[in-house]
Amino acid sequence: MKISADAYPTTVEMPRTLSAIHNLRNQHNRIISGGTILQINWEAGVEKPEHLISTEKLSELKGISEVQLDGEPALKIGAAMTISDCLHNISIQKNASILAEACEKIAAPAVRNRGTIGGNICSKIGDTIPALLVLEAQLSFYNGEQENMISLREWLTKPNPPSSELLTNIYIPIHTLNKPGSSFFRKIGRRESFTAAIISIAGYIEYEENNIKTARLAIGGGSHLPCRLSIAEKEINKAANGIDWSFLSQVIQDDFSSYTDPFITVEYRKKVAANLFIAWIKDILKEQGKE
Amino acid sequence: MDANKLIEKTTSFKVNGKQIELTLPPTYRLVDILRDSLSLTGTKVACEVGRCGACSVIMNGKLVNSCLIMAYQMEDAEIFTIESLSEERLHPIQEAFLQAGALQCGYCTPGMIIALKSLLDEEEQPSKEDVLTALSGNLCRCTGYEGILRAVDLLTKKRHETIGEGKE
Ligand SMILES: Cc1cc2nc3c(=O)[nH]c(=O)nc-3n(C[C@H](O)[C@H](O)[C@H](O)COP(=O)(O)OP(=O)(O)OC[C@H]3O[C@@H](n4cnc5c(N)ncnc54)[C@H](O)[C@@H]3O)c2cc1C
Ligand code: FES
Ligand code: FES
Repeated sequence: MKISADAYPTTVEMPRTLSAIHNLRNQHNRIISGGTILQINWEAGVEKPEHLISTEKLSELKGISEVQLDGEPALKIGAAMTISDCLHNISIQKNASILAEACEKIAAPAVRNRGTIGGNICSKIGDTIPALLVLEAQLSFYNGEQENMISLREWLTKPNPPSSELLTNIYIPIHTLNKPGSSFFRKIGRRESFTAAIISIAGYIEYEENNIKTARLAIGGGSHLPCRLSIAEKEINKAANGIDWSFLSQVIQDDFSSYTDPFITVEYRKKVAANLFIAWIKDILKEQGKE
Repeated sequence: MDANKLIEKTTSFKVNGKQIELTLPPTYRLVDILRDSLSLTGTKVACEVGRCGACSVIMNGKLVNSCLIMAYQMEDAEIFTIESLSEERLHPIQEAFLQAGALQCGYCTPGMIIALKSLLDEEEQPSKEDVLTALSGNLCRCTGYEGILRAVDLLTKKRHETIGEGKE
């Protein structure tokens, strides 16, 4: 049986190695992993690209393992691993539990079986990003000739990352996670109606002699470009002898650039974010006997 | 593009145990292949973007939305659709749905049953939490889910009994 290709004019390339990829830099090409976001976009009327480069069979983008990165232990996650693979991986559950929590909050099992962590990150709005930001993830990109490392945090601030760069692996340092600390991930959304998240937030706090030593806070979800809340982090880090909660709440709200949509106002999103962070930090301090 | 141009990409895959070869454009969707090319219309299509679960099938042992699978992703795949469950008699999941009155229009039902089949293939005695997670990608606009959960209760109770009696 033959089907007219008129409605489906796209060609697909399925390389097995990075060196076998043709024309990564051609502007009519598009990298595709699970294709879950791309297909939503096409259904919504976005024009299909002329040519797709699939990551599905690229062995360099597969596997989850503990490796050494610059002499330090790190978790290496292949960009083509599915959200389900990440959710069920023991090493991720043990060393980066908030990433597993974020994965659990993404869509439903059938979508998680197809969507990849690489696609989630490269969408720039995925729910794994806030978790990966506080885990200080590094990304490795292939530009057609070689692989280069960049921190996720820096990559997100680049105006328009070239779509011709292929994300190969995600690295999460393990050493920072073995110090006394707490981490958390929360997604506020209305999943039953499949609307985008209102916000997704992640936090990591390390203590020394029961005082907060390092705080990392990140926010994303919905259409937010995820980022770290660096001013609020400084405010927590310098407050060894007590935190001014209402001031911190204001700093978090000022530090977070959000938006109003037909359902939710910018003020509401900011307030929810500040309240969630503060409730979590207060809980930690209570546990440590500091409050 | 030439109006009649065909992309001669032959995709070979198995559906419900049968080997199939079709010449397809690489981005043609599995849900269209099943319904239009293979007349397997038990798999339904509604939202077309992975939200409702009506088009669920099992591909290489995993639950997927067939509206989100493209022909190029199906090379050598093994697919099971709702038609594979009741070739001779109704599957116990289908019987439980009937007994519990878990359907009205029935449009969502094939997807629900496939999602449950996928869960029960992996987990012999799933918890309520497991069931709710497994069905979280399936929307029903008619029954209000109570009937569906009753069917799952009936089914898991029956499973416990047969396992308890060593009949399985
Ligand atoms: C019903 C439904 C619900 C969803 N709910 C959520 C949710 O709750 N939270 C959430 O975060 N997401 C959600 N998603 C979006 C999506 O499924 C996930 O974000 C998924 O992880 C995307 O991965 P993918 O492999 O399918 O991406 P693709 O669609 O393949 O790609 C997405 C983007 O990334 C680029 N890309 C992909 N891989 C690479 C790579 N290796 N290198 C460079 N660029 C690349 C593509 O060119 C494209 O621009 C949902 C999707 C659906 C259909
Ligand atoms: S039609 Fe595929 S999930 Fe709705
Ligand atoms: S019975 Fe009609 S949609 Fe579920």
